[in-house]
Amino acid sequence: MIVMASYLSGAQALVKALEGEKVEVIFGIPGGATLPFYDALKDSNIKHVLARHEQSAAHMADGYARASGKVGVCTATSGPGATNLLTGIATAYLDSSPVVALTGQVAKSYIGKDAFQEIDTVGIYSPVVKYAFQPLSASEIPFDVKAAFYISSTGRQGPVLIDLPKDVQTETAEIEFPERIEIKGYRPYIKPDPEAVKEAAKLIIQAQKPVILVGGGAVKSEVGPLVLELAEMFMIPIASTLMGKGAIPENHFLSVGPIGMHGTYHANTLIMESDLIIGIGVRFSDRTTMDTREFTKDRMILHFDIDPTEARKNLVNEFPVIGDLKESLSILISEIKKMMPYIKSSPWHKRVKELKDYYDDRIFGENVMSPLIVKKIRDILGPDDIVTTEVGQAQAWAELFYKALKPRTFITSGGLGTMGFGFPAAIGAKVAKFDKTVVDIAGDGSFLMTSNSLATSVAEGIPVVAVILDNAVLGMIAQWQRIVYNNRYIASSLGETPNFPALARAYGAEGVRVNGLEDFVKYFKEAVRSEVTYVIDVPISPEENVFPFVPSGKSLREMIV
Amino acid sequence: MKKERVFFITVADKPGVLFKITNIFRRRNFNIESVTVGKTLAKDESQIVITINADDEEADSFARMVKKLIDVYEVVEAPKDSCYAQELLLAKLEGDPDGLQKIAENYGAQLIKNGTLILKYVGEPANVEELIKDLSQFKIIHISRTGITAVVKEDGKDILRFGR
Repeated sequence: MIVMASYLSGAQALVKALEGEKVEVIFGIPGGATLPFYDALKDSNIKHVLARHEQSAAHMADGYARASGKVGVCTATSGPGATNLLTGIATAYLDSSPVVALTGQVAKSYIGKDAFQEIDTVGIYSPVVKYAFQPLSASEIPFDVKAAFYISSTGRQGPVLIDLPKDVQTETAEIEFPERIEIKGYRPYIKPDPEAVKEAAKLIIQAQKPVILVGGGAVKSEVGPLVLELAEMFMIPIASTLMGKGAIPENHFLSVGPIGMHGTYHANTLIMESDLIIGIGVRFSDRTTMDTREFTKDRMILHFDIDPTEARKNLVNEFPVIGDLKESLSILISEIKKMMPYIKSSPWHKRVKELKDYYDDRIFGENVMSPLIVKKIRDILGPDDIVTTEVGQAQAWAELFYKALKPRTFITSGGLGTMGFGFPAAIGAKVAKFDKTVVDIAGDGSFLMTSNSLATSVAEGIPVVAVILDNAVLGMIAQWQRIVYNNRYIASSLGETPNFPALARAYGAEGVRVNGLEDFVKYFKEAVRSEVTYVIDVPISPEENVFPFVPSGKSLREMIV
Repeated sequence: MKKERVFFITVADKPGVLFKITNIFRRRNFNIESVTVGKTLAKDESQIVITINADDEEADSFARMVKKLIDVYEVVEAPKDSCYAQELLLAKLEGDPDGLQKIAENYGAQLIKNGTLILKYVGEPANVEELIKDLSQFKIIHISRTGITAVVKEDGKDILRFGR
C-alpha cells in the first residue's frame, strides 16, 4: 500500500523515511558524501548529535538503542568515515543491538574505481550486519529504510547498513512511500514447538539441582517477570551472563549474579554443581562457559533462544527450544502448572542459600579499592539510573559488584569487547533517558580511546559521569602478565599521563582526582547532582586483580581468588 | 564423520548473494570443492549448489547459518551419496581426431569438430578425472569443468531442509 508520492531528492526522501520511522536523533559526523543528506536534515526536526570520531557515533547510537529499546541511528561519510564506524557496528552486531547505520558513498559511476574516499562499504560490512542495502536510485530509499528498521528491530536484533551513493541522494524523482513492506526470506517470528516446550517442562520438573542462566536475549525480550515466576516455583537460582545483567533484579533472593571468566564465586560453583542449566536468551559464549566439556559434563542443558543458528552452535549436546522467548516461557510455565500438583521444597535451595550467604558481594584480595568504588556507585544511584562500562578490569569489577536492578540499566560491550565503548555509549544512553543519571565505569586505558567524546558531551549539553579506575596500566593485560605470564610485563604500563581532571577541564567538563573512598563518595554525589559532564579520576594500585578469575581453557570450577 | 555434502541453496537473484554465502564457509576455513549457479523455475530466484567436505555437525551448522541470510529462501543439505551428481567437462585439444573419437565413444562423450577439437562430457566427477587422464596422451589446450550440479535422489533422514 502506498501512502503518498511526492517529488523529492533522494536525500529528502531519506529524511522523510527516517521521520516515518519516528527517529528522534541521529549520531554522526558529516562528510563529502553525506552533504546532501545533511542538507535535507536541516529542514527536519530530527536532532543531530555531532560525534568527534565515527566509532563513537556508532557507540552512541548503540547506547541509545540499548537504553531505550528503540532503533539507534548513526551516520558517517564514505571511506574513512565508514571504516571508523565499522568497529561500533561490529560491537552492536555481537551484542544484537538494533542500530541503523547510514553511510555516504561516492557517486555510482565512481564506485569500484578507487575514487577519493571510496571503499567497498557493503563488502566490509556484510559479515557484521544483519543486512546491507545500497539503493541505486532515489525511489528505492523509502523501501530500504523501512526494511532496515524492520530487520534491525525484529527477531534477533542487530545492525543494518544503508550505503547511499551521493548521486542517489541528489537525484530527484516522484517517490512513493510504502506503508507496509514484505521481505521475502525474512521471517523473524518463530513459534516455539509445543512438544519441545513440553519436553523442557519435564526436564525442569525432574531436575534436582537446576540453575537458570539469563542472557542478553532475556533483557531485550523483557521476560524478567516470567523468569522470576519460573524460578520461584522451584526456588531455582538465577545466574546471568555478562549481557544478561538486569534481566531480573540482581537483589532478588534467588539471584546469584553472573557466571563466566569473571563470574561470582557462588554462581560459577552452582553452575558446576547443577544437573540442569536452563539457558534463556543466551548463546553460551566462550567467556561464559569457559571449558565447554566440563561445562556440559554431568548435566543437561536446556536452551531457549529466538535464533535457530544458536541451537547447538556452542554446546553440541544441548536441548534447544527455538522461538519467541515470551511465548516459549509462557507455554513452559503453563505446562509445568499442568504437570505439577504441588511444589516440593528442595535441599538444593539450602545449598544455594548457603553459598549465596557466604559469597554474595565478597571481595577477594587485600587492600582492593575498585570493588568498593563500584559498590558505592550502586548505593548512590537509583534503580533506573544507567551504568555503562569500558572493557577490561573496570568492566569485570562492574560485572561482579554492580547489581543491576532493571533491564537496560547495565550497558557493556560483551561480545566484541570494544575498549572505548562505555563513554560514548553513556552519551547515547543519556540522550535516550535524559532524566536519568548515566555513569561510565571506566579504566584509564579504555577511556583514552574515545575520550574526545567529552567534546560532544559538553558542546551538546549531554551530561554524563565518567568514573575512571585509574591504575596507570592496561589493567587486564597487566593482570594476565602477572598471573599467566609470570610477571613479565610488556607494553601494559601507561605511565602517569594524562592528567585526567585537567583533560576534562580542557574540554569544559568538570574533573577531579579523589583521594580515598570517602572523597570519592563526596565528589560522586556532587557529580550526580551537578548535571554537568564530570570526570572522577580514582587512583588505584596497578597491582589490583579482578577476582574470581578463570584463566582461558580452564573450567568454571578452577577459579583463582 | 567427514564426507562430501551438497548444499542446494535457493536465493534472491541479485548481486552479492554468492559472496555472503561463500564468506560463511571462508570464515571457518572450509574449502568449497565446487559451486554452480543457475536459474530456477521461479522468477528472480537462483539456485546455488555448493559441495564441501564436512561432518554432520558442521553441515547442520552451515545449513542454518546460510539460511539465516535474508537473501536465502531455502537450504537443503544432503550427503553426496544421496544425490545424483553430475559434472560437465569441456576440453579443447590438439591431436589425432580418430584417436580422440575412440576415447569419446568409450566414455559416451561428444567430440565437436568445428575448426578446433572440443570434447564435451557429462558424468560423475570421478569419471571426469579418469577421462582427463586418458586425454593426457593428446595436447590439452584448455579444460573447463563446471563442478557438480545435482538433485537429491530421495528424501531420507540424512537430508536437512531449512526455510519455506
